[in-house]
Amino acid sequence: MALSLSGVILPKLMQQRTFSVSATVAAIQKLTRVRVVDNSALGNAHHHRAPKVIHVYTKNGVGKVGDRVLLAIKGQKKKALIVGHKMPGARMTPRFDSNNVVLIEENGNPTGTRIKTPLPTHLRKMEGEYSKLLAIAQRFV
Amino acid sequence: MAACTRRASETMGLLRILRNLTHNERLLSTSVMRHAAASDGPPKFTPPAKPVIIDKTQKEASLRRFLSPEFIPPRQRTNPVKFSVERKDMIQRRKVLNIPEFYVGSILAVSMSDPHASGNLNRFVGICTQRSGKGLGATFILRNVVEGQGVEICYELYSPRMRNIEVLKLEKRLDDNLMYLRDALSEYSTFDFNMQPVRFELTGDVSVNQLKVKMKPKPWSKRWERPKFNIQGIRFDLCLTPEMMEHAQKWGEPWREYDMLKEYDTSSLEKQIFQEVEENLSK
Amino acid sequence: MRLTLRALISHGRVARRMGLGPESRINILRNILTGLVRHERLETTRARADEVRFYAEKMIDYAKKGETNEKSMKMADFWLTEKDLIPKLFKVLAVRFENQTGGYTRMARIPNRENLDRAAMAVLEYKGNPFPPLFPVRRVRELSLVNQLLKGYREEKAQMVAEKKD
Repeated sequence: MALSLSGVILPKLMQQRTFSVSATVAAIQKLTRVRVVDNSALGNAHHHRAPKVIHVYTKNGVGKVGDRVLLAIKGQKKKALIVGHKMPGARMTPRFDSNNVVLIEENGNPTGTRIKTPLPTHLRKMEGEYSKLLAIAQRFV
Repeated sequence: MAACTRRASETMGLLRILRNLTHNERLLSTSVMRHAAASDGPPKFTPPAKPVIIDKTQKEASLRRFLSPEFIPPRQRTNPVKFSVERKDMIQRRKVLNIPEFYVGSILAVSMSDPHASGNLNRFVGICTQRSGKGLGATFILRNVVEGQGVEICYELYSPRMRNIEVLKLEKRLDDNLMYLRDALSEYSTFDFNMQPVRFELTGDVSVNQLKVKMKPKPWSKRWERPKFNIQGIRFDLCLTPEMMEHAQKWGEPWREYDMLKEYDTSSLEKQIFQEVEENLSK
Repeated sequence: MRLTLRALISHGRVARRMGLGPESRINILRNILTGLVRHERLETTRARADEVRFYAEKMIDYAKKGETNEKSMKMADFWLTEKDLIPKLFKVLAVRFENQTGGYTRMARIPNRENLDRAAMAVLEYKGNPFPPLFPVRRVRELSLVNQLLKGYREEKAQMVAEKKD
């Protein structure tokens, strides 16, 4: 049985090489598979591939709650809003067990008519743009 | 006529005094009635004082001594003044907000102020899966499954946004860290929001729930079978073969329990801090 | 952006890295501790002596708790590879340090090893051992020539001061 690498002290040269130089990415980024939580036809239709994020509309490519993303669903592109992710955020804010997303039109109107899954309450501060979306939400956590 | 009114006013004065002395009501009711009929209607019923039940069967010594884990300072090279100052602040906050005794595995209902929630109050019920942090930054994570979606919220115990912490069910589990509930079947993390609080005793040890949880199929978020997590509360026999359990034991470090450098004996510290907290809280 | 791995930052780490890994380190220290309990004075490299010092003192603390204490017996059983030393630990060393609270060991540095590696060496010992002391006690010899001359000089000076006063 080979010795596990954690027991071996790496020589100094190798130590210098073992850190990543790219920025730490977390939460939702390109190519994450997401779960659509509203009751729109497009979101609930079964496809052999899960909906994936292909672009995140933020300055860095990281999407947190309340950011817009571009999704690839059923062979078409659709905009969506992130309503919950698996990464822990600020204290006192909820952390969900799946990356949740709500489908949206260009003007910010939601595609579906109901959102059963709970939404974080700090989404309410974007009353202006997404007020229709917050209106169809049934539960806040 | 004047004498009559004078007597009436005297008795009214007496009446008022006598009404305050509640135990005398019965004795004087007849006389009161006769004179009161002259001035106002029947006297206002003031109920007798509730009897105060002092439980003399349980002595103070048998009450459970619990020191919240965030009071115990970690093993560090910081000045102990920092810890004593923090403790003062924590006790000050505890005088305002009642932070009850709870363990990992107890079910809590927490209300916090939230400007975006209805009525500025946000209530959440869940099982406590982890308590971490020391001092004023102590946190605990509550987990619940709401409408099929697992939600975890990390609350800060001493945050000014906390309004109320209520223990619905006080119990301990086989482990100190229930992070594996994320990979367990969702029935083990669902708790009704309108759950009624279960009565618990103030003396004796807290009951340990010997529940062993069934897991979803692998892959899990962490390899919970490895000995470094030392998890007792999972039914490994249902999800792992004995070969996999043996393979996991390869990461076991049997020398760790004998390594005296890793031990941190807090018993004397705990006693001292418990006394300090007790006497300051009662001031 | 983190430029260093968490493994490369060692703030607050008290254990030195020795040998091939954590298990190897414990084995090395175990052997040295066993030798120390047997011979009560040992010569090793400075780093190893420093590490073993902590474990040696903790071992005595456990031994003081008594033979009947389960934890103490388990610790002694693990740390002393030669099992005939377990009674010595409980009956000789624990009794010797009954009245002290700490500081059961002494470490003295030694010139570097003569080998190619020129390793920094140290001697580690339990106090109260039967060997001659590590730091020899310097006694002032009253009868040496220099001291006798100085004594005479001091006496003469005292005499002169006394004569001046008169």
